[in-house]
Amino acid sequence: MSLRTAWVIYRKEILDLLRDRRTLISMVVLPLLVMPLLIGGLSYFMARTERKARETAHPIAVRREIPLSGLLEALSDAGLVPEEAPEPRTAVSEKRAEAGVEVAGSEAQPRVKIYLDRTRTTSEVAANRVELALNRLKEQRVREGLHSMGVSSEVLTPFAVEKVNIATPKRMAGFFLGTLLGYLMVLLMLTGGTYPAIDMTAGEKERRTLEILLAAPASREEVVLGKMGATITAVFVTAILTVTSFGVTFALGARVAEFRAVTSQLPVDVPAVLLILVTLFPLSVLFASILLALSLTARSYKEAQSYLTPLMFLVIMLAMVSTLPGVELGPRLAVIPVLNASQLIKEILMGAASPVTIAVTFGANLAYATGAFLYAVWMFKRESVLFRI
Amino acid sequence: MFGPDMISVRDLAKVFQDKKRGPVRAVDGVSFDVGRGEIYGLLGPNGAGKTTTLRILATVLAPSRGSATLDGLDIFRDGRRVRQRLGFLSGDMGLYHRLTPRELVAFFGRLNSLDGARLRPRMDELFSLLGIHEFADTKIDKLSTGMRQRVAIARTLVHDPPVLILYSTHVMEEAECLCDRIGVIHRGKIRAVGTIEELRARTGKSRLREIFLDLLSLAEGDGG
Ligand SMILES: Nc1ncnc2c1ncn2[C@@H]1O[C@H](COP(=O)(O)OP(=O)(O)OP(=O)(O)O)[C@@H](O)[C@H]1O
Ligand SMILES: [Mg+2]
Repeated sequence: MSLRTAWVIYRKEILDLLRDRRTLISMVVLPLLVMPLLIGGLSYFMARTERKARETAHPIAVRREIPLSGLLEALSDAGLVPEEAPEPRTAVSEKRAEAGVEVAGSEAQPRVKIYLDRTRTTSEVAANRVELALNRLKEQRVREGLHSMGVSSEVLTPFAVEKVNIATPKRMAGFFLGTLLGYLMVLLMLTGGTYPAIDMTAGEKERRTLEILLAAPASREEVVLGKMGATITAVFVTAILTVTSFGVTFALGARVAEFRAVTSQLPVDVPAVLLILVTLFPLSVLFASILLALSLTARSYKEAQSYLTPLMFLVIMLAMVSTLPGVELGPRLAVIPVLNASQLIKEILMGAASPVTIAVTFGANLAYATGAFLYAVWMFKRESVLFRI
Repeated sequence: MFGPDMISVRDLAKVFQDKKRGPVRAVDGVSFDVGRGEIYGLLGPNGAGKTTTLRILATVLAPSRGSATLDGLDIFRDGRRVRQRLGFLSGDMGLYHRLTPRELVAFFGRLNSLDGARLRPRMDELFSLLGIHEFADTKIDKLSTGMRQRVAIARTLVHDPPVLILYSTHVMEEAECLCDRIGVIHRGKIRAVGTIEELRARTGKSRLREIFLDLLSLAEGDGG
């Protein structure tokens, strides 16, 4: 085994893959574009919906069979625009109003109906505000009634209830963005290594260069080492570019008004990025080894792609678990590859990763990576794999 | 006429385990010798075992039985040194299309432990000899078939190997004028060996194509 020869092969593979358009797209272009597009798009969308909600007046169709004093004022005070209409229900269904209010019953016991269309978010929002306004009106009436009877209005609130959100904005932003990054990261890493791995194995068979390479003095170990190094590089470069573009999107996004909704609480700092990259290194080795070993068994590009599809699904499923709310990375979950990395990224961005979890994740992935690496080396020595016909 | 044996093959056999066909005896007890400076042609119909034999000699495949030496080195124990003495050129050339001829030939030179000081003049010499200089920095996928062939030859010769293994799948007449000696292989066994004159005498035919067909029909008569 000579590291020098492995290095010669590594350099050639890197040169070769940097000239492959598909590799460049999956390894460089995609990681650089996905984050800004996704975060930018999301921020824009969120800012727009919020602005729209603030700016648009909700027209409310109102019909009163019996009078209900203070109704129109209560609605207007809640920022709604009440409009008299003969049929509130139709007005809502024909979208002339966001919600409808109908007062029926008797003067002594009026009944108020609120019409809404649950398939329209705006209608739901408007109806909620109508309900709030009506409750306020009701409370006011009760207070007045009690007052006239000489009872203190304190009987209405025997005790006070208050909800306090203890999640810091940083933690909430970290949760949201960590979920996004944790999931996308592992997928991008896998796709970043896919073309290089196929190109260096099944691709070499298809182009009939493999046997020429094997007839050169390099040993099988040196060949695998060079190829493995190049694939690991491709996977890890994808990870670096993804995290970098994530960080840069934030730094720049914080300056754009439209983006600030999402980026105002910046959970990305240099130590977090470095910690993420360190934990991703064993996963890169694991991915590279599996990709190489699997695509080596194929005879052609197409065949290799079909072998890698189930792997892709498996990785998506594992990464998806980390997007579920309530999943927390204990030492037990931390031994599940892929899932542990996605989840750890999320927890790092939330500022909630414990040293034990980090260590278990790193150690477990390192163990899998070592196993997969040895497996790939072994596959490269099997002529029934190299020369399958 | 030729020096001591450069290649010596003894009772070489290779059995592939094929999923559908079961065990396939691709090479079945082949022995031959090639002297220093001699051009030995291995001729046979499709599936005769030529590629398998040559892959074993190049240490790319391990034999199931038998032994072989190349320049006195055991192909089994001295794999790396055997490969260093070998130039291996196949019909489909096997070039990395995204590299330029200069990058490709340099890569194989480095694999053969040629450092910069020895590699550069050697490449210069080969590129002049084969007329590669004009397109030395053009990517191979932009080159014509003829240009690619020259690049493949440069790649094969860059480390100045004492043994060349060339294999192509056509033109028997090439073998007729090139080869000092011809071995006819069929179903994994050598059926006849000799100079073209010896084979002519043996079969009574003059053109290699006819000699070849004649020998094969003899082999069929043997019961394969
Ligand atoms: N990797 C393999 N697995 C299974 N069988 C194989 C393998 N390689 C070759 N064979 C079989 O071994 C036999 C000899 O094949 P080989 O390629 O050596 O023939 P050849 O003389 O080179 O033929 P051609 O002129 O068609 O190139 C054939 O029957 C072939 O199908
Ligand atoms: Mg062949």
